Amino acid sequence: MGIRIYILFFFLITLNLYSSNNTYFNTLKKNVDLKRNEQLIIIYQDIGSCVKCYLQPMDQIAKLAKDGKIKNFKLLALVRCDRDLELNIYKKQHNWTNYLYRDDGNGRKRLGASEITYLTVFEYDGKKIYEME
Amino acid sequence: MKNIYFLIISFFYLTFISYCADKFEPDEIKIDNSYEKRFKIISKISIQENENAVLKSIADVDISDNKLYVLDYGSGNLTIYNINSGKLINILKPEINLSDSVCVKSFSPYFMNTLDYNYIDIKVRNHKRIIPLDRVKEMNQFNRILIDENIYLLSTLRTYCYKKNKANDSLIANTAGLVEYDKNLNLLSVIPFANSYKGCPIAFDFIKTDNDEYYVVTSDNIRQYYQNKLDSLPILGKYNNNGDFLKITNFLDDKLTKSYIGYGIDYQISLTKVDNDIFIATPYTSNIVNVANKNTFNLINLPFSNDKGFEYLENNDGNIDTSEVKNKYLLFPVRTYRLFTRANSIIAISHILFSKQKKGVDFVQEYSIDGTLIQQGQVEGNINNAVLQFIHYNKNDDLFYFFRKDNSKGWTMEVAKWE
Repeated sequence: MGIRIYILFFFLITLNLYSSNNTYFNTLKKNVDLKRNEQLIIIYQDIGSCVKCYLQPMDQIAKLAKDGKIKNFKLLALVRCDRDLELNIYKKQHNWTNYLYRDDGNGRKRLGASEITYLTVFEYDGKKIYEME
Repeated sequence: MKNIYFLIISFFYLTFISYCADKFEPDEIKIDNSYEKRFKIISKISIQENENAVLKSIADVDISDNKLYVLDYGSGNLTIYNINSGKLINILKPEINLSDSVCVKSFSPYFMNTLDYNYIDIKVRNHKRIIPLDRVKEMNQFNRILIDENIYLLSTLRTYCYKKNKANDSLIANTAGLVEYDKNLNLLSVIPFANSYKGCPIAFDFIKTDNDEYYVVTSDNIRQYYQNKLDSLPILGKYNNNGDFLKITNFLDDKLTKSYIGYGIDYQISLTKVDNDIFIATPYTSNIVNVANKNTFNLINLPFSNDKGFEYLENNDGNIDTSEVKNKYLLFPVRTYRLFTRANSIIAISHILFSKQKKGVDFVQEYSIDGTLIQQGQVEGNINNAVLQFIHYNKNDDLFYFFRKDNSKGWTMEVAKWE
């Protein structure tokens, strides 16, 4: 009996964690209007950081696309800043024409990515297919 | 039912254990209140923002001719406001063509000087169709500002390089440079500082001497990260007015190398000049060093000491055990981030991080150049969600300027004086 309650307890915690991650993913998915046959690529960015931090994920995306590992995707920059207004800085710095979303500092955590992840590729259903650190 | 009680008790027990595991506590120091002097707020001004002039976080500020000059860390821009109304007057961007002056200097790109890389200007880059970096529109940053008869901006200049005879092998190198404008924002000169002893330097602070020599603080990531060296990390170099390197004048404090921090977390090194003496402060060491004779004095009468944090890291080979230290920043609750000169004394600004429970506060302290504490004041870190981001002292009007950011209401500047 005891063991069952423990299993239930951990199951509920895991479910809770999973659903909160999933809620965040769904918000992002909605933000980019992701279609069923599309993948979502998320790059994790800071404003005012080094050029390499921008070029590295962009080069990886180009490589993944060239190798046919990703296709039909939408690209979202999750940018660490305090206000939506600050996203304009990023937009201008990089001539950014793809999707943008403000990261309050917990974006990676909510998506189950490590602190040093710079790029994640998700399927429509939230399944992570690539993560790069 | 017993099992449910057991489960609940276990849950609270584990939570309690986890709470107790937050073992590290910095040493608290009782403050002598006799040094305390209150700040009186004279005025409060909203700073105008628009789509083209957004402030993310302030890198530096100066004031001249009733104008407020603000450098933004996010965009790297200089934004100019009316000091009385906070209305936006102008924006100056560190355009990429500033980098071209790096190419005409005869020094090699940082650690690649053993390889065959060359700096190239925009014209050559376009001619050779060197691509990858065209995707980045704005790369340069203004980091520090000094205004006298002209406007001097210490900048991080990012410059294109390519390998000779192999045009597709290209990279971006950083160089510190001093950009000079007149007050009508006409470009007068760009002095790139030759970086023979620095790798990938990002500019942080500078002093212009009466002899037109320059002391420049830059980081040297190459030595620390690529060569895995932590000893003798240079922090301050001296240059002539042509930008030629003369000598290294200061190395990073032993405390920061022995604790394996090196240039890590918040590399904010600050300089100030009192008469002919130049002083330097590093963020966590709680001391101020005279650059010429290396005489050092400790900052006193602050609510915490960082010593325990340094001891902890030294004893743990630089590693942090997350079961002991939940918030690594609490290892160093005192961060001295800015020095100013007030008549013949030094103003040191330190941010104090109390704990997760208590709001942060900035301490403004005035010391004589021999290290005697004259007076100090405290500035609340958070007032009704307006979070203190930067403090500037202006010697011309003897006033302090507190910059606060409210995520919904924007930026305000409080003008204050010591009562």
